[in-house]
Amino acid sequence: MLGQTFKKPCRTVVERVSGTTVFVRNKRTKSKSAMSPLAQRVVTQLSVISASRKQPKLLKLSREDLIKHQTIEKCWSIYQQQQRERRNTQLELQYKSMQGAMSLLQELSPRLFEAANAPEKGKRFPMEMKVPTDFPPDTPWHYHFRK
Amino acid sequence: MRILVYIMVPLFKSIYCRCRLKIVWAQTERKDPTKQDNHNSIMRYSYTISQRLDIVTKVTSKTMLRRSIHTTRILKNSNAAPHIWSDFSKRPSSLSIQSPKVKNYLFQEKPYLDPPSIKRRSNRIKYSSPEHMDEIFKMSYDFLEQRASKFYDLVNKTKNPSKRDTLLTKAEINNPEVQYNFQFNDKLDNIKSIIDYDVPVYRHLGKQHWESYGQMLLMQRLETLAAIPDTLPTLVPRAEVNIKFPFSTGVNKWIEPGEFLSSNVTSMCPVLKVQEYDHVDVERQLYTILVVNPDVPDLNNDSFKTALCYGLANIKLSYNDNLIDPRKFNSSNILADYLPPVPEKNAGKQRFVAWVFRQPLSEDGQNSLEVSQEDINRDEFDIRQFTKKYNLDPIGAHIWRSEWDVNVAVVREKYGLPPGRVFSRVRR
Repeated sequence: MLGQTFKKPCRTVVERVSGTTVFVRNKRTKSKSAMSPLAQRVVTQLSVISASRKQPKLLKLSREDLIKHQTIEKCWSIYQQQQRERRNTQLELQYKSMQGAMSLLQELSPRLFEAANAPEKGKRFPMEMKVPTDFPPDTPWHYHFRK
Repeated sequence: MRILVYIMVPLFKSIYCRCRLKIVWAQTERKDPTKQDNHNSIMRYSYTISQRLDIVTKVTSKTMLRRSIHTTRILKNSNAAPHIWSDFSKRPSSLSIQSPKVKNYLFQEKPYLDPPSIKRRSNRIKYSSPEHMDEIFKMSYDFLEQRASKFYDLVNKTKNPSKRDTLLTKAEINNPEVQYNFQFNDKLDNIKSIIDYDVPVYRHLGKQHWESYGQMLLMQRLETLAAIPDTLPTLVPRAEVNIKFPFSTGVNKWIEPGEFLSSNVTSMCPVLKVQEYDHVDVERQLYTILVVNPDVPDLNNDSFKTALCYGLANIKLSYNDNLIDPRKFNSSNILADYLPPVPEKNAGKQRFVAWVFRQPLSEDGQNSLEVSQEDINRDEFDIRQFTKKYNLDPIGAHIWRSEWDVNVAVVREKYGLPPGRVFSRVRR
């Protein structure tokens, strides 16, 4: 029976073994797409060099350079961690000082505190407000601006 | 008019824009295909503003509007801090790379050297290390060294030995020389001049390395082979235990936990290596070693009993000199002489579990254990009761397995043991 299947390798072979149907799948010989072989070749070649196929290249480093690389990575991560901690402590301090100021305001003038904490539901950032930039813009003034 | 403004603005904000101009310059240069490889290095960006103002005027305003997120900042010059990692007057020499070639390449005293780890000349020629790595490595090294010196200052202030160890570890863990020594040398058969486990950082690295594989493998084998709880209830592994049968009959390799060994291999006593990673009192601490076989058939009870194969007590170890072989102890240390595994035919596979214990430390300095011979009943050994009685603290274990083979009879004859029984199936 096996010999039979090997004789016809390019077809899906349907065999009947004691009443049940058995499908045997072999190597695909017919092309999947309806494209001409030339076009298919171009597509294959393009897909090979496409960005999705590009894996990050494995760094082949000598032992000494690997140690150097690890040292640099370690240094960078520690440096970033220090930055992060510094920023976080600063933010924490800012928040605390804001909270202190607000509690002071609440003591001094409850009315102003109420006003400062008034709910601003529906209020958005004004569209016409200019985003602060380092340099003057290309068009400094919109002469024909209509709201 | 616009150009004038662009030139004026940087002049007014000259300090702020210093870094910005550099980035702008880098962006313009990146567009130039001939100079594409230049953007890697931070050092290349350090040009004076006056030289580059003409480029700034050419840049479109869209580039100008981008917020400057990346800023090039020159790290503080660390010349003021002491070069703690190159000072070996107080630090042990094992913290430095022994090979002068490697050390020279790492710190590039002579530029454009080839890596000495690549042996073949053709490969050396083919190899090129990443660009500008040396400069950035130097910068990182200075940064980390400066940080390490702070830890050394803290070490001088602390008295607590375990805290000192952690601080010393933190001070040296990022040292590239230490990393090189540890990563590319044998950790088990360590050479003291390279990996010195007396030094806390090497102990820390060793522990990490052990925990990454060896410890897990051991625990898995102990649990799947039910050595835990058949011998002792459980184990909190703290020391790495390795076994070797180095004599002429044995195999000259470290045994993997749970491995099957032929009776010929195990016919002479094993050698144990007990590597401590914790901070222990090396001068006072003594160790006990017991090898038990929990699979001896007990026909009277239709069960199995535990036999003691090997027992050693009052063994003194240090961090580096920790191979327990017959040169290390004398007859006073032996609780029970080595009886090799001689499983009987059809008795199945037998487990041989080696346990390592820390002996209790007493105040009066009398740490050695006095074991009465009554407690050592070799044929029916109760290891739980024994450890409880002598207050032994299990820190490590190892396991191997044996089965009957044709050589068992020879081993039995050698040790003067009676010929073994042959078991057969019984219909019930």
